[in-house]
Amino acid sequence: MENRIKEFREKNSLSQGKLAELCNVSRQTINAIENNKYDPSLQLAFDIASNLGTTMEELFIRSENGGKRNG
Amino acid sequence: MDKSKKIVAILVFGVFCTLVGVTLYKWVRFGTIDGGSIFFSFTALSYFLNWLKWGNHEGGGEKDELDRHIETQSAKIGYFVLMILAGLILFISEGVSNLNDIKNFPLLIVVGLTFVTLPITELIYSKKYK
Repeated sequence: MENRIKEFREKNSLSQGKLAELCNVSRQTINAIENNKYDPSLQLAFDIASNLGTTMEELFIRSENGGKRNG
Repeated sequence: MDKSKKIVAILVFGVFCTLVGVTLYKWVRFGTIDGGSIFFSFTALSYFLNWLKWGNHEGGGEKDELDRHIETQSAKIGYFVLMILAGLILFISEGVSNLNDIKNFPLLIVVGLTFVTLPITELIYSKKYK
């Protein structure tokens, strides 16, 4: 699943570390999500969207093939 | 990793090296294999590796969802690695390729159990969601 976290994060002048702090996760987690290495849980996806002042639909883009899978 | 954690990691690694050294010395010098030293060597090594990754000797501590994902995936991969290692140890230690020539039945049973443990666990765990 692709995402626009970096774009919205920069728009809100937030670093990965600050966003991670707001979402109660590590900076590595935000970095992995941003680089499409890890698909977040629904709860974390909502938290990220809410902290970036946007919606899930705006933030996450569904890939045609379903994108990378966590499992 | 902060300084105190680095010191603990180095100390634990030192304990591991000492235990391995004692085991090897006893083996080479007296021809005896000390089961206790082997067991505690592996325990020390597991503490060291847990310290390296999680900063906690038992692998506990605060974890976010990516950490839990890493744990789950590693457990699955580790299970299959252990399955292969158990099979390899069985065939290498017995020195035979025919299953009927194997004398170490406890280890053969352990290898067999590695085949069924995961499906049994999955079967039982899946009932939680029915």
